[in-house]
Amino acid sequence: MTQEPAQDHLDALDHFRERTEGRVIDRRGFLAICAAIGMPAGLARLTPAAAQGTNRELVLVNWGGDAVRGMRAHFVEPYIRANPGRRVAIDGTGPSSGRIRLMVQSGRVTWDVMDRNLHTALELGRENILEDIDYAIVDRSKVRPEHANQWGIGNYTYAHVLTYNTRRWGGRVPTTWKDVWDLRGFPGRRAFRRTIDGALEAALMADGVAKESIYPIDMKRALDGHKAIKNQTIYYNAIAEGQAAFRDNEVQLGLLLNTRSWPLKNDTNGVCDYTFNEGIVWVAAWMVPKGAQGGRAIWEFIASTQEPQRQIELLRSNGYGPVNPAASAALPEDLRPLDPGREENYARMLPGGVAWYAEHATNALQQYLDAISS
Amino acid sequence: MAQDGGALRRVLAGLILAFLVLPAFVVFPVSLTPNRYLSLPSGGVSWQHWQTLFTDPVWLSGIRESVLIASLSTALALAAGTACAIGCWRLGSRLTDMVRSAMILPLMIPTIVYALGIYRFYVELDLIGTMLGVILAHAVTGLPYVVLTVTASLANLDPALERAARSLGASVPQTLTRVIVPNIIPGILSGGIFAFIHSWDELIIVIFIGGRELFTLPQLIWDGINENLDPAIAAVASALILFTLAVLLVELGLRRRRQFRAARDT
Amino acid sequence: MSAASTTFAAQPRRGFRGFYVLMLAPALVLLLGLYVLPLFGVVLISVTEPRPGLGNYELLLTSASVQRALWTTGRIAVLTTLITLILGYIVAYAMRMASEGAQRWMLFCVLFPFWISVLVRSFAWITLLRSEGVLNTALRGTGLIEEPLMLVRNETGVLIGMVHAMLPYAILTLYANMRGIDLRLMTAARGLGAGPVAAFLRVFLPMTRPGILGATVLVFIISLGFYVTPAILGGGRTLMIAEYVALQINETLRWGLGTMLATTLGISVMGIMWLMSRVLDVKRLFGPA
Repeated sequence: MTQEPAQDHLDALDHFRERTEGRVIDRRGFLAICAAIGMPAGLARLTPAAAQGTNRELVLVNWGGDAVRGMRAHFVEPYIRANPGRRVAIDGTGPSSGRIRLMVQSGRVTWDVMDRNLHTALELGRENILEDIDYAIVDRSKVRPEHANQWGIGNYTYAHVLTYNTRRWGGRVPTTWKDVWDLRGFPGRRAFRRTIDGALEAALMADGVAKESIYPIDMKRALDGHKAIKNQTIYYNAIAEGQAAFRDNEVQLGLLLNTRSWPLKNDTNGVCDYTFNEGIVWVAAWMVPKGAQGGRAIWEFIASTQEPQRQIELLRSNGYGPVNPAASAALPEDLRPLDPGREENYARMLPGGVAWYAEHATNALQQYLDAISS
Repeated sequence: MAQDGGALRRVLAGLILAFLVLPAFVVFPVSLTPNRYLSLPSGGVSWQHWQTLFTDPVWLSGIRESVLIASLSTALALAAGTACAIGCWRLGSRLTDMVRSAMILPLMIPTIVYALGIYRFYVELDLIGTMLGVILAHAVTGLPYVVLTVTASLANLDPALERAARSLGASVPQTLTRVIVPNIIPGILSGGIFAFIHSWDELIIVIFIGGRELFTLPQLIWDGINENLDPAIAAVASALILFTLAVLLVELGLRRRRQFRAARDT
Repeated sequence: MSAASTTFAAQPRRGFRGFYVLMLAPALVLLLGLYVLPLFGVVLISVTEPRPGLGNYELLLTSASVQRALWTTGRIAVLTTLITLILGYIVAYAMRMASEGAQRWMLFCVLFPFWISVLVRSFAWITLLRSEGVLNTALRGTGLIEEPLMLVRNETGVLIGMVHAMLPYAILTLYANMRGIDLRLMTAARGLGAGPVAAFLRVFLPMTRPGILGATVLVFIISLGFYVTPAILGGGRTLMIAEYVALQINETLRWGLGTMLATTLGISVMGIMWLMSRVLDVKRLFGPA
């Protein structure tokens, strides 16, 4: 593929992009333009990547901290060892939806792979700011069927789990969300995150809704649940903040990420503990911004992270559950209780409603914040 | 002035100052915690977080970048903001009132909205991921602090002073440097401190336009927000407090020596 | 425009005037080139997304959610500003009256909050003030209280944290202004028979009006933009407008709503300042004495 003949077409495309202020055009519009300027659509999309070759540095964006260290050690370094000459940089500043949209609209996409979750992939994919996952290279069969969609492929699993202080109620501990809503039986301060995933489902389960009928979420019912406990509840933003509240005995029960409940248990020598029972399990997902420049290397990198051994190592270092069931099945004894994706744990939990969140998250989040803030 | 209610004034002011320094009583011990999360030390102290601060290349480069960005953007904001405040003060018309109000605009618009705009702008100018880009953005958002404080301290400056200087044959630059500026030094310094701290603590703009080429101190501080906040951030705060204390002591020492010499010479 | 300032403004000779006009240029170029221009396209989003028109601005009148966030923010900002100004004035006045050496020490204390990043500061307040925190433990130890005082994770906590963060701004602005005041005027007033209170109220206080005005504007506007401290110390139940905007931009992608709120904030703060300048007669304050 030579660059010269395509150059004029690219100029035409740039010109179009200028006129549309860099706004990404929808697929049909894109094809129409390609047809108008007489070039195959695939060529326009791939030219920059092909021109750069697979040795161009990939940029992986995640949420920083231990995620950078863990993914570098167990995803990036094995990939580089297997593909000498390639480079992958990790940017830990956070692929928030706003920044993804801004970058794609600006027309200069410098990110290649982003660590988000499956329902966001569905939501942003519909906004037309993500690339389709190339399932010719990425193996869809290496994740559960519910852990892949057009724009996102499972990366690791995590869960919102009931976490509690074992000393507060004389040997008794809460085991269900009903207990968390039982202000008399389990007096004390509660903790929930200021995001809806997990918080809404917990309220509904506490109110007696069966796991199978949680979705579509009855917002009024879920919010009434939170209104009933909000005066005894600390709603934390940062996960570190919620964890610290448990550690300092500022809260005694509530919801925390399993990836932090485990270190919390260790830090407190078992004073704080957690259960997967009635947990809400989610899947983090790789997604790729529309117009990413990394080309084929992006998909090859993602495929390399599906390797069971790498996922097992990441569970050991970061507590991220393997998304590949083969990895969960092969876990050594000591790691099994940590893995939300392991069958005996997975079965006790509610899989988070990807489709519902992709559609309703925006409004639901606003309603939730309004309800707890009023 | 004792009979001016001086005692009450001093007690009240003392209490308020105590309120201001109160968190430091937590911050110092926390910087010595043996744990890897923010906590009061229990069962022993450790200097590991201070060590991180002075040896870890990531922290060192973060501090260096932040110092550089904050210093240069403050210098820009100070120069432009002070000149603007003096110009507005001296010209004193309805138009300059508008200019002064406009200068406060960056303080009113939520930073994230500006971040959207400056990102798009910098993509065009190819300034994404450059220190220059961040310095300029921090300078313009630091302007309001300078303009507000300098304006407040100019208000008590008698314009007759300025007229007198000129009628004595001083040029405008001479009037500025010899008469006006020396009289508003406290305002300029306050504005400078505010602008510096604004840049020093600023996170959102840096995240949007810094790319992965830049990693400033606030980014380091927020980096552990998903797991544990690194107690090194308490060590940073403690080190800064100790640094200002050292500056203060040196300054007081020099002053005492000067006074001593002056007393001896007379 | 008052007659006094007209004559005053007309007084500088042409060359001098030109020089002062030139002094405005760098700041104006910075502001217009690197702030107003980049912001312009963003403000436009507020009338184009999700569909062209003033739909987003209608939400100001119709959305209870938007109104609540605005009301919470306004209430907290006003309370913070009031408390901060009163406390800050006391400290600034004490500083002005203190010896040079004491002033340095006071200044040192005033700068304290600046060096402690907002996350650590919030953590420190939680550690100090929570129900099993340092303060409550100490108070209960001495038998002063039976039940722990609820000082954080509620609106009290928000105010404590915000006043603490805003005090340096108020004190330094007021102090910078008070430094320009000749204290002999107070002595003169006393010499003419005024009592200490009268000398303060009639002579000192009026001269600090520009300082009060500057500090009020600074503290109020910065308070409007705060959200990390309120979110943590308020136990997650305080939703300020700046966080509301950040949420729309960064997470829910309702950019039209977010930019509408930013525009509204800008316009209403400008309006408030204009009103203040009317009521407080800024002309006289900024103009010749």
